[in-house]
Amino acid sequence: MPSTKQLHIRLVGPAIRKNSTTVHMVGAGLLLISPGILIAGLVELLSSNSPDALGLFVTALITAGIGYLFWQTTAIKGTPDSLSIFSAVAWTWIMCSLLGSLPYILSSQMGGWGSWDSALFESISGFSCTGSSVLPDIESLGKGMLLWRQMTQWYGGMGMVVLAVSVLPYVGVGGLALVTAEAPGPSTERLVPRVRETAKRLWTLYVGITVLITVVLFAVPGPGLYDSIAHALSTASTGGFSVFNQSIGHYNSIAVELIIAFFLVVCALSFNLHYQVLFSKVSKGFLSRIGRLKKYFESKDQAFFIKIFVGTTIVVSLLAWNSALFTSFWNALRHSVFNVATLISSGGFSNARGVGSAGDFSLWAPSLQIILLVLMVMGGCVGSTAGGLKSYRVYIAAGHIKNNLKKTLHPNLVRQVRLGKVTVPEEIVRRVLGFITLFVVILLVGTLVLASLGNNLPTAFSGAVSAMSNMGPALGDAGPAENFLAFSRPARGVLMALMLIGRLEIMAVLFMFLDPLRALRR
Amino acid sequence: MSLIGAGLVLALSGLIGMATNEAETFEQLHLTYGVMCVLSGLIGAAFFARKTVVEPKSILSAALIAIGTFLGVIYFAFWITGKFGSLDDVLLEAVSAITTTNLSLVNNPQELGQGLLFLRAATQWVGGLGAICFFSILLPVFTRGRENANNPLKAVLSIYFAVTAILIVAFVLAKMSWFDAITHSFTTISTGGFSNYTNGLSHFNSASVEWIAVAGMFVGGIRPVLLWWGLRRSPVVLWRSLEMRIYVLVVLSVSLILFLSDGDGLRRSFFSVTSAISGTGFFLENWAGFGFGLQILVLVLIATGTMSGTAAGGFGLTRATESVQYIYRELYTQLHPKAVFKVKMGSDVLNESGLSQTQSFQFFYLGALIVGTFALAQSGADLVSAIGGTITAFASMGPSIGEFFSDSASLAELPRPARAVLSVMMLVGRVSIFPIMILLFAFVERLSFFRFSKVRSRMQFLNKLGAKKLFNKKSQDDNSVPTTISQFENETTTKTTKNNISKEIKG
Repeated sequence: MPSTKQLHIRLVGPAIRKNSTTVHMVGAGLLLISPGILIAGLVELLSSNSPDALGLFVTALITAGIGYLFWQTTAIKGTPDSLSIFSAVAWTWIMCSLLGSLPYILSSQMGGWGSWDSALFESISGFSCTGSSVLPDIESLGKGMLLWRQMTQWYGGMGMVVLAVSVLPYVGVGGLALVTAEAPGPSTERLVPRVRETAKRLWTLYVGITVLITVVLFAVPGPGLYDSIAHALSTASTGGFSVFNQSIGHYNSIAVELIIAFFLVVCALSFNLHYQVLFSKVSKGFLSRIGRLKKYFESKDQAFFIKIFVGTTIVVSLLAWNSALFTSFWNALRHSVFNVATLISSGGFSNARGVGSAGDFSLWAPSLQIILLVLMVMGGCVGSTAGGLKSYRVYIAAGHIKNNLKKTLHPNLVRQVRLGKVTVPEEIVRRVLGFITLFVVILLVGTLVLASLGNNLPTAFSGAVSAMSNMGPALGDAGPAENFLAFSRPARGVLMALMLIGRLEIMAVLFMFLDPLRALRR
Repeated sequence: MSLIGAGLVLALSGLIGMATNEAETFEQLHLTYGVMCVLSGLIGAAFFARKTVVEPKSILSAALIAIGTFLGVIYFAFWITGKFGSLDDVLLEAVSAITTTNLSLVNNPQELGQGLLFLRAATQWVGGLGAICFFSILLPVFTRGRENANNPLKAVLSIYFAVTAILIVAFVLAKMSWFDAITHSFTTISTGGFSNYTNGLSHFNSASVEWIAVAGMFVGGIRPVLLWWGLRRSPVVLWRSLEMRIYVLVVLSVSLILFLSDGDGLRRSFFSVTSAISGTGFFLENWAGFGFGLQILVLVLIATGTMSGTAAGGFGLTRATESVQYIYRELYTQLHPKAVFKVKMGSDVLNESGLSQTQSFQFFYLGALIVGTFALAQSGADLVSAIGGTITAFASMGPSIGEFFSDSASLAELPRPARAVLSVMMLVGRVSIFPIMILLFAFVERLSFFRFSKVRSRMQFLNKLGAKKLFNKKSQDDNSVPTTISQFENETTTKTTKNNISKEIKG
C-alpha cells in the first residue's frame, strides 16, 4: 500500500502545475460533491419513479470531469496569503452551487433552462444550509432528486473546504487558514496538532451524528428509512430542507418534533466541544465522561446559548399561550419548543400543517415575531453548523458594552472583556464589533434593496434576516407555509448573495474578486 | 433652569391667550402658574448656585431632573386646560412637546386657541434648546468634546436665537401671519414639528414657505457650535468638517433619489428628506405614496438622524460615520494584518476609547429599538407600525409608516398602553439612551449587594456599616489602606473625576 503522498504523485504525475489556490480548491470541492450526485442518481434509478436519473448521472460526470481537470492542472505552492484563501473558499462555494444546480435544471419538473435562477436559488439555499425553497410542490420531485437536495445541505453544513482539507492528501500549509476562513466563527481550535487530522475528526463526528439522528428518527413511529436519512442530513447541518411540502408538520408527531428540535440544538453547539466531551481521554471510565458534560457550561458562549434557548422558549410559550391560535398551554409549549429550536439553530424546519395552522410562526403575535427575528439574527455557536451572528460574538459584544458602562462610571478603570476565565484580546473584540456592525449594515442594505424590488417591510426585512443567518422561512409573505416565490426574480438574486455572505461570514465573499483581479494584473 | 423656562413659556402663553378675544379661565391660571414657576425657579437657582462640584453621574441626574421638572410643569399646564382628553393622552401630548416629537392626538389644532398653540410651539422650542444644551455642553464633559468653543453656551444661544429670528422674518415675508410665523419658526428650528393646522405646512400652499422650512430644518440639523465657528471664522470651517460634508451629501443624494423615483417635485423631495433626517416631522403628504423601498429609505434616514449635539434625534450621522470607518478599518486590517490605521473625523484622529464607546452606543441603540418594537407590538400594534413607531419615537420625529402613524386621527386608534410605551420611548430617545443606561447601570451596581455572587461588594457595604472587624480581619491593622480592589478603584476614580471636571469647568 503506497503512502498518500506517493499515491498522489502516481495519480497526478509530475505534470507542470500552475500555482493557484483558488482553482485547486474549486477542483477539490467539485470532485468531492460528485459522489453525492452519483449516489442520488442511483437512488433515483432504483426508486419506482425515476425521471431524472439521467440528469443526475450527467451532472455527476460533468462535475467530476471539471473538478479533476481543475485539480490536476494546479497546485498550492508555498503558503497561500489571505486574499487567495478568501477567494478560494468563496469560489469553491459558488462553483459547487452552480454545478449543484445542474440536476434541477436538467430535471423535467423544474422548468428547464428558463428557470435557471430558481435552480440556482435552490442550490445555494441548499449549500448554505438556508432551507428557503422556491419549489411550490416539493413532493413532485423524484426521490433521488430530493436526496440530492438534502445532500447539498449536508455538504454545506460542515463545509466542502473542511472536507477537502480532511480528505485530500496534499492541500498544503494553508490548511488552517482555509478551514478558518470557511468554518463559522472567528477562530478554529485545533483538536489535534495537525489541521488535516482536526478536519478529519470534525467530519467523522459529523457523519456520526448524522447516523445517530437517522437511527433515532427511524426508531420512532412515522418516518421510514428514506425519510429518516433525508431529514438526518438536513438536521445535522441545521439546513432545514425536507422531502415533504409540510416539512416536519407532515408527521404531526410530537416525538419526531422533539427529536429534530433536540438534535438541531445539539448541532448548533460547537462540534469541537462535542468531540472533546466524547473522545478526549478520561481516566476514570464512563462516569467521569458524564461529568464532562459540564464543559458545555464552562464554555461561556455555549452556556449563554443554552440559557437563551431555554429562556426564550419559556417566554415565547407563555406569551403564545394567550393567543387564540393555540388550544392549550401544552400546545403552545410544543410549538414554541420546536420553533425556537429551529430558529435559534437557523434550521428552518416547520411544523405548520397547512395555511393557518398554529405552527406557522408568521401568524403569531407581532411581539413574538420580533423575538423570533432576534433569535434568527443571533444564531448558534461558533464551530457549529448553525448560522447567524453566533452567541460567541453576542456574548463578547455584551461584555464590551458592560465594560464600557463601567468605564464611564469609573474612568480610570482598566478592564478587559472575558470569556469565562480567558481574557479576550482587544483585537478580537474589535473584530467582533466590526463584524456585528457590518452584519447589521449589510442586513439594512439588503432590506432596502428587497423592499425597492417590491416587498413590504416585514417580508423584506425578515427575508434579509433569514437569508443572512441561513435560517429558511421568513415572516410576512414568505412564512413557513409559503415559499420564496413571494420575492421577485431580481430579489431572489439578492437573497442568494445574502445567503452566501451569511454562510461564509462576510469576509470571503467581499474579498473574492481581489485575488482573480490580482492574477489578471500580472 | 427648566422651571424658569417652562414658567416663562407658560406666562407668555397665558398673556397671549388673554390678549386674544377668546379668553378662557385656564389662561389666567396659566399666567399665575407661570409666574409661580419662574419665581420658584429663580429661588431654586439661587439656592443651588453655589454648589459647584460636578460628577458625571450628577450631571446626568441633574439633566434628568430638569427634564422631569419641565415635563411635570407642561403636563400640569396641558391638563388644566381640559382640552387634551384623559390623563394618558395629556402625557403623550406633553412628552411629545418637550421631546420635540410630532406625535399629537389633536386632530384640529385650530380649535385649541392661540394661547395654547403658542404654548405647544414654545414648549418644543424650549425643549429643543434644552436638548442642544444637554448634548453639546453637558454630555461632552464626560464623554469627549469636539470643538472647544470657549463659551459653548453663548454659541448655542446666539445661533438658536438668531436662526429663530431669521426664520420668523422669512416666514412673514412669505406672507404668513405673525402668529403663524412665530410658532412655525419655533417648531422648525427646534426640529419639533407641531403645526397650527391639521395638514401642517401644506395648509399655506406656498412654495416659498416650504423652501424656508426646508432651510430651517436643514439648519436645525447642524450642530450650533459648528455653525458658530463657521460664522465667526469663515465658511471654510464648515466645509472642512467631515460631518457637514456627509450631511450635505446625504440630504442631496437622498432628495435626488426621491425626486427621480417618486416624481413628486424637487421641493417635496427636499421637504421630506430634511423633515425626516432632522426628525422634525412636519406632515409628509406624499409618505403613503412612496414605494416600499422609499419608505424604508426614509425610515433609515429617520433612524440615522443628523449630527450629534443638535435637537434632532436619532442615531447621529457623526456616529454613523465613525461606525463606517470602523468597519472599513476592520476590513482593511483583515487584508493587511500589520497595518496601523487611525480613524479620523475630518483632520482629528479619534481615540480608541471614543470609538469603542460609539460601538457600544450603537448596540444600545439597536437593543433599544428591539425592546421598543417588542413593547409596542406587545401592547397592540402590528409589526409594521411597531417598527415604524419605535424608530420615529426614538428619533423624536413624528409621522412614520404603519397604519397608526399617518396622522393624528389614526394615532388615536392606537391602543392606550401602546401610547404610554411611545411616551417612554420618546423620553428615552431624547436623552439618547446612553445616559439612561449609565444611570441604570449605576443603580444595578448599587443593587449588586443583594446578589450573592458578588461577595466583594457585599463586604464593602458591610464595611461601611462598621462591621469591618467581623468580616475583614486584615483591615484591623491599618484602616487607611483600602482593603479590596474595588474599594480602591472607587476611591481613586471619584477623586480624579472630581479634579478633572472641576478643572474643565474652571478652564
